[in-house]
Amino acid sequence: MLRSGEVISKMRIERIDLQNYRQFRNVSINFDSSTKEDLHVIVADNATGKTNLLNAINWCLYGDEPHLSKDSQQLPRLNLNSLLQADEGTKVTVSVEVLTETEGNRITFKRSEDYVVHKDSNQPVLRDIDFTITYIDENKNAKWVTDEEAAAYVERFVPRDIREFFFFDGERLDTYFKSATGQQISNAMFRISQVDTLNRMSDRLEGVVNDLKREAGKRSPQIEQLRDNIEGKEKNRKEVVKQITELNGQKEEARGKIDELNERLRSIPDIEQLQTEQAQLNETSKKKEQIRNDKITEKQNMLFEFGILLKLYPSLDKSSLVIQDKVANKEIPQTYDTQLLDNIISTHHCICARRVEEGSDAERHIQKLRTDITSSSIIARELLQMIGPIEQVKKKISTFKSSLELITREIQLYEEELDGLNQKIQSIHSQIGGYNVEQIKQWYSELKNYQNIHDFNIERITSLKFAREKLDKEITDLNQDLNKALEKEAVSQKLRHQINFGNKAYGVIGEVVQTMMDRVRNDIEKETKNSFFNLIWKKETFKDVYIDDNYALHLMHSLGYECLGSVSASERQLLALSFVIALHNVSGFDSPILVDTPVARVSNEQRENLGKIFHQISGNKQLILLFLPTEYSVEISNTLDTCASSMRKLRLTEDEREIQVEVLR
Amino acid sequence: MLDRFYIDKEDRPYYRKAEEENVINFKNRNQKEQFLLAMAIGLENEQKRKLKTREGFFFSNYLGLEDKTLINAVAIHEYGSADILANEKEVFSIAEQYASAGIRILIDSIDKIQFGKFDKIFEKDLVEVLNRTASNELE
Repeated sequence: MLRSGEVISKMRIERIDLQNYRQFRNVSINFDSSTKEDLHVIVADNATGKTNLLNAINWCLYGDEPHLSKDSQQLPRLNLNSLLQADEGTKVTVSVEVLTETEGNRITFKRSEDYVVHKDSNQPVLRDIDFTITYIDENKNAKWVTDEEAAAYVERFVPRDIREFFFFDGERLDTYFKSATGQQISNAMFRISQVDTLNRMSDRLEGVVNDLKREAGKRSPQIEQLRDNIEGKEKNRKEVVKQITELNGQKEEARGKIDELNERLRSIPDIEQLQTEQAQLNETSKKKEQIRNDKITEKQNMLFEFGILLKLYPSLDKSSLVIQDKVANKEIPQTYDTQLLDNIISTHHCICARRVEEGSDAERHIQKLRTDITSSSIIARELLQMIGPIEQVKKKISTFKSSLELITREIQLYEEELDGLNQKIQSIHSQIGGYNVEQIKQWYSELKNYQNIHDFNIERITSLKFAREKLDKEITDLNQDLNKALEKEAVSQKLRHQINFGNKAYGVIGEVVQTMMDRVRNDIEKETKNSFFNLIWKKETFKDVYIDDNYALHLMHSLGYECLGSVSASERQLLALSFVIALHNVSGFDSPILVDTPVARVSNEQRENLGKIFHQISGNKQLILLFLPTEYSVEISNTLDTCASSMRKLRLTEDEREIQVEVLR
Repeated sequence: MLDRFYIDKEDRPYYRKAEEENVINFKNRNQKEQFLLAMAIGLENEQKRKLKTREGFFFSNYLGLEDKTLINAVAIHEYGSADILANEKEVFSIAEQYASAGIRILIDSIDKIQFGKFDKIFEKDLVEVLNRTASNELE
């Protein structure tokens, strides 16, 4: 029996009837539970109605289609064949009916839209919208509610705020805790804690207390001044609290993005850093190469110069011997007085006072002697000039071996250094190779940006928390001053009591709200942990699951580090499912789970594990899974074929405008 | 003193090739140095070649005292006595003939040795020459 305000617990979907809704022209899908598991499998290709089935349920219950593809957004909700085949001016109805069952009671949710078709337009004209819920009351009479009242009933089935924890896209499961879910989880807890009534009460009470203070203020300017100050401070406090909430949301969003980017970059090197390193190594290598080349040139020059000297060494050695011989024979340096001979020839007088006749044998003899002396002086001069250079050459040659060894070693060292540098450059090159460098750089840049946002928000939040504490103290002090002033000004005891009571009640409500939220959070944390450790196949790998003060969920590795960003997609999905189950249990909204593409991002090896998890969950809760044919792999088939209560395949008709349901089981 | 040293006109392509191959940095040496190396190689191999058509190669005033000593030493080695030094023309001629043969021997070696290996072999030869002829006397 359905009673007003009561949460509808343990609900399951029995059937969905779709009339003229998008590709579903006239389709009924039964979800009979023929086995002990309440598990239902629907397999369909892309664009063959899977996601629109999810949309149909959302549309029926909430009147919107949150998962609509861009293509579908261009099309009318009315089935295309129904639209094309309808006569001019005909009324055609689109309807989705969700028949549910809870503890023996049947509740039917039905949303419909009436359209009138005009042939000159592709868009039918909407004439009427209707949303009705039919149920059996405590007297076993059929009753129905419509519109706003019906919408209120839906809130007891699955509240709009938390529907994404019941009907969702499987790919979303993987990113569940990666994006900004802290705020969403906080909203869900708020909704589940049912503290909204208390909050409304708190707002009202605040208004009443302020009115009372205003009343008291009329009796004294001091009281009015204090009241004004308190109101101003409370306004500031609200603004600060609002900013803290907003910044917490931004911080969590940044954290989600950081986790997501870290996950993407987990096995990818820091390209920018590597490129910088590579550029520096290239620069160093270029410089070293230049020095090495200079050294090689230096060595070549050395070989050239020593080549001449060494190849001519035998000649130099021989010349040296010749010179030594001439010195020994006193042929060099020369002792002839050529001036004396020249005088005899020019004066025709010998030193012995005899005349040397021109053309005489004596003159010819002296002239020959003079010529011979000239030649030998040339030779002697040349030989004398050779002595120094020969000694120098010998000295040079004596340094050849050591100079050659030194420069060869230097070149070798540079070669080794260049080899090392080239190996490093190659290693970086192969690390970078195959990656989309620009994309990775972009990710690193985004990561840095989000880290800055995250850190900046933490700083801002800390300073705002200080400001809040300061305001709290100021408000308390001002309230005490106000009390004293009220006493002093002899304000009526009744008014004082009313203000005091209002203030106290206001504080108590705030504490109760926080206590309830904390209790829900603790309960969900505990249930999530239980489900996760009950279901996980690697029981020794993880140590803890907890939800922090900002409602962000954390998974701790057994070695003590946070590992949510680095676990496999299947493990993350399991955590998300555990959280969903916990949320269902704690909230009392024990409704079905419907997941579109549940294992799209899970590897084949892990699908079997996740298949087993689905099997286990379906023992306590209705589970409707919408698979792509490629997702429904052998691993999934092995685990789900035997336990699924129903299996269906959705197919498009040839004109691709209608869906037919093939019952496989 | 004679004003220049000559090579054979036919030697020119050999010098050009040696520059192209650039063994032991040949192309960055001046013509006097290239000539002296060619002369040294000719003498080492005891091969001379008479010049057919003479072509001036470098001016003799570029010769330093050490260069002059080397050229004189070749002449003394060839002639067997220092008297040859009185005949500068012959001293020059002996140097030119050894250089003409030497540059051909150099090119012939370059052609025979695998590309890029010449410097290494040249270095090895020099060490052997040093060990064989000079080391005992120098140490």
